[in-house]
Amino acid sequence: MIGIGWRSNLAAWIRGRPAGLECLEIIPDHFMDGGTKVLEQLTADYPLCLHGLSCSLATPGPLDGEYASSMQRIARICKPRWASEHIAFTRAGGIDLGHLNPVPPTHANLKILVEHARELQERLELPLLLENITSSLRMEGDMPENEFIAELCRQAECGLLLDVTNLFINSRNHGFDPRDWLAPLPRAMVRQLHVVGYAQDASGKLHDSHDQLMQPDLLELIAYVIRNFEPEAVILERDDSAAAGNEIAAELEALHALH
Amino acid sequence: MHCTEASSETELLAILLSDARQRASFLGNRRAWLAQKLQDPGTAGHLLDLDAVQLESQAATLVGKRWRAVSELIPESSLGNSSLTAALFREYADQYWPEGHRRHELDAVSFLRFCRGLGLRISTAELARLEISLGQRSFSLLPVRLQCGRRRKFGILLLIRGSGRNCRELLLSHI
Repeated sequence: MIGIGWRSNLAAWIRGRPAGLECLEIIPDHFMDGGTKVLEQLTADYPLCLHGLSCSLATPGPLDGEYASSMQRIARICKPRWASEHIAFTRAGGIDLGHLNPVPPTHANLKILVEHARELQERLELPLLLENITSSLRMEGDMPENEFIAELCRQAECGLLLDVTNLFINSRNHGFDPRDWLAPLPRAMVRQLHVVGYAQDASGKLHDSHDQLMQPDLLELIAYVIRNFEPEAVILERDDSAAAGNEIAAELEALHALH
Repeated sequence: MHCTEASSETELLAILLSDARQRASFLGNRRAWLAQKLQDPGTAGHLLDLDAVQLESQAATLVGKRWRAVSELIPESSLGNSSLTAALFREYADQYWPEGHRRHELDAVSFLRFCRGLGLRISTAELARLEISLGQRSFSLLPVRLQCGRRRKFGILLLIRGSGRNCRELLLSHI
């Protein structure tokens, strides 16, 4: 299945059931203050998956019960096929950084992430996928990042939501081969992909601005991942309010052409 | 203000990413900074190896993402206003890290108040709309200037909380 992340500026276009749009990803934050009727309609029209942003699974201590409860409430309405969260922390020590940050790939952090991922999976009563992030900060630990992620998914009994754009950006910014990074991952682990074009700043560094068309070198890597891992869903993550339906449709068509 | 004693490496990383002064202090003397924050600095050994450029870059990314979200929420105040810049936002951003799923709106309100406190021009209607949407006030009455052909008139704009997050707007009268 190929789809997009639901965004309010694309709601009318999505309601029109455009060709090539086969599924949607729902972010709970968009429905925490209402929108139940919209969710019910989306549930009737599309297969859905639920994508959490702020569970902060890597934060030591108890799992964020408030955010997990919101995910539970929304999952009950939209009956997603699975849920996902990031391998990251967004909050710690009373500070809400609001965005995703890495932790060193250590045994201690592995234990925290495994416990939180298992708890979230149990609370949601859904399969849980864990997503790799992009970060300017490259942290060393007890093992390489890819082995850490594979071990985390194995111990927590979760699938991997592979963000191909994040992998591409990290590989360029930190100088490694993304295909080598992918090599130790079991084929069945990768169940969903996130893709979107990357942005480049004046210094040459790449960023995940979520507002760019997919570039040819990125599409090559996406094609490689699809061929080698056969994920069940590919979600285009465009967050810019200016993204028009016809532009999204062309991007979806490009993704269909890779299959 | 951050707590003076953290209990984990992740908490320390959050402090470093959110506070430029703490980063400067850390980068000046990593071991001394860790000893101040932790009873056993050995538990945060990975921080000793952090790349200073990468740390600054990640911190800048976090604030940059906030600025991008906030600037989209305050177009009337920020577009064409050379005072409300990313640099000014960076100056403000360390002082306040909003929480929760409406953090961008909270950030926008806080930034507009910060700018107003500096005597900078902002859109009071935009600030009121955000405050009403967040439930921080239920209504606002604002004087507005209207251009009717060649004539300039004055009116009163009523902003009032509608259903959900909506802010309804009514032009009450003009003279």
